[in-house]
Amino acid sequence: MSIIQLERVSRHFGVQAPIHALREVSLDVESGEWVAIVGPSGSGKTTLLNILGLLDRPTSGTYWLSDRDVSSLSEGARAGVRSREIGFVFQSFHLISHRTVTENVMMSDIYRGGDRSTRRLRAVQALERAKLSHRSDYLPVRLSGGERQRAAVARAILNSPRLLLCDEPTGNLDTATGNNILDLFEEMHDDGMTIVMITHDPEVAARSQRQVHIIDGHLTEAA
Amino acid sequence: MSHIRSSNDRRSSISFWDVVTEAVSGLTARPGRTALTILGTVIGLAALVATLGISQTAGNRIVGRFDELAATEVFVTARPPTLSSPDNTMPWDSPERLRRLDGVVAAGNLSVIDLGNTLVSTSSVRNPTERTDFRLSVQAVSPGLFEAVRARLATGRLTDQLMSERGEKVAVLGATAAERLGISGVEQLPAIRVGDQVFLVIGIISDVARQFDLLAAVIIPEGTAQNLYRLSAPETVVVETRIGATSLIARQAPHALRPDNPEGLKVAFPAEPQRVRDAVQSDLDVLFLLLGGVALLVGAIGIANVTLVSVLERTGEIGLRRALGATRRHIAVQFLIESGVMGFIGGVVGASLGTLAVVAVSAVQTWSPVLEPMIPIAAPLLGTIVGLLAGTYPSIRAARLEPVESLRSAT
Ligand SMILES: Nc1ncnc2c1ncn2[C@@H]1O[C@H](COP(=O)(O)OP(=O)(O)OP(=O)(O)O)[C@@H](O)[C@H]1O
Ligand SMILES: [Mg+2]
Repeated sequence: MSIIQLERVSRHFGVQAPIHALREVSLDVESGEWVAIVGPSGSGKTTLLNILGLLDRPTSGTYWLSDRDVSSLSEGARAGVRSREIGFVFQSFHLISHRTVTENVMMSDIYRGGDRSTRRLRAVQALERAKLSHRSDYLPVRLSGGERQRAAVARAILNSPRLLLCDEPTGNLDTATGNNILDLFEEMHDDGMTIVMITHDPEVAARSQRQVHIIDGHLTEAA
Repeated sequence: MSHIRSSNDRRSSISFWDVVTEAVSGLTARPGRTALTILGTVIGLAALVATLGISQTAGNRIVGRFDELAATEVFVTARPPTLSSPDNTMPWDSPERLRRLDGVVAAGNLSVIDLGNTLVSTSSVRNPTERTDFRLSVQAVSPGLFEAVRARLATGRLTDQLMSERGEKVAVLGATAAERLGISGVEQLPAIRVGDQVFLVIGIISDVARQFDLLAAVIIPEGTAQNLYRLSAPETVVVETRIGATSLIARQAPHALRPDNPEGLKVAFPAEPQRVRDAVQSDLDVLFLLLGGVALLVGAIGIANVTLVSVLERTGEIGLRRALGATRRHIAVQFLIESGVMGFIGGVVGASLGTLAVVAVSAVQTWSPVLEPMIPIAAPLLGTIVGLLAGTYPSIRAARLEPVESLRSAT
């Protein structure tokens, strides 16, 4: 069963002399797959991930997420899908600096109207899965880069989303620390989570199950 | 638990408590800045509350001191005759006519007699070394006047109706006049000379509540003045009314006295206490309310400014929240609540400081503080409204941010 189906999705920026960030991209991702999107800078990786994460709409083409056409959903409904079904991990963590690790993790529960009484407990469990329990009361400034990304991963998986989208999750980390994060992804992949991960690093991409290449907005399956 | 969005379960939703918690945590993240931001609103609302309270307290004070006598007096005089209305005189029986009106307590005629250069002296012994003749005012009165001016008799008796009718040459002296003439009692039957007429002094009044020049005057019966000085009509009727009846009596008096020619009479009465207070208060209030309003406006601009800065600083946070499922509305509501809460706190603190100021000023002046209870209650409400208005534009700006752009722009 496929969780993501892109049909000839294009994304142009600007009207006069438009930039063709994505050109008729078609992509199928099966539920439980771990896919790496690889490509040089400016090739359209982030643009593609934004569309997959419902943060942006394609200029043309159709996007089926879990067998429903999400291109036609209202903004409110798309926000609802984001809150329940998608987890994001960004290259630059995006942690709120004045909140503890646990509070940062708990934030991903509020816009789905999650149960307040069990929220902290679920955050503690997510931090356990991300192997960051020992830092749960720290403020982000006191964390190392790898720990910050673990906090971000814990936040992304708090609600056990079907789809985890990661834009250069190891981009700000050294190789060893990055590998620890990738170990984490591997565990979640083994648990059945679908992961789409952007990277320009072939070694990182090699950790995934499947690689697709994107160059100049054209998507090609790796051999 | 109430949800801002719950009609369609496919939309994202946030509980009321979560959105409030998020907003408050946004404020407590930068407590110093939040406090400084609120300061303008605090000053504005404190100024408003203090102004209203102090002017209410002072206004109450002015009413308290407002001469109760002034609230009970009416004077009726004849206008000077004109071609169209040559006969503006008042009748001799004016006091009787006025006493028939409901609300009149006492009434009496009072006429100043013009005696030119005539001097008043003690008639008996002339002491050549001492000056014994003075220029004193001679005033003719009807018997009711003494009551109308609340004259206090020091010694002897007052002139009465019979003396007036008979034209008796008797006089009552005001305390000052008696002192100047060297008369301290009436047991010796002192007499005074007014020009070439001799009057028997029958009484001395020590005090009056109004028409204070009576204390320096020789007061003679009206009938006597008609005979001796050809007084043709009373000059003024002094009326004492019940409290609050002055404007009513002022309207009725000309018709009671001259039904045929009410316009020929002029009525004077002091403004009533309520209106005096209103005038004093509005003078005080306008200036300080203006100051308070300006401070509040500055406070609102402060909140708007800081909220806008905070939106720009927190672009990354806004992008993250959108990625986590926040809609534009959720973002707008969060920043609106932040600014509204700042306004509310400003209102609470401002109302407290303003009330303290009223109490402090009252304590220094030994006044009893007066403050409409609605004012300290309304201040936080006003503060909240100011905060919400100030937060409107920054909230719209925050809501308009595109999630992709905000995520990209921030660290
Ligand atoms: N909002 C935008 N307006 C105009 N052009 C854009 C916008 N977003 C992206 N682009 C352009 O689209 C192209 C693809 O950008 P994108 O961010 O997807 O690249 P990328 O593959 O993620 O690159 P990198 O590896 O450097 O992050 C680039 O040429 C970029 O300049
Ligand atoms: Mg990118």
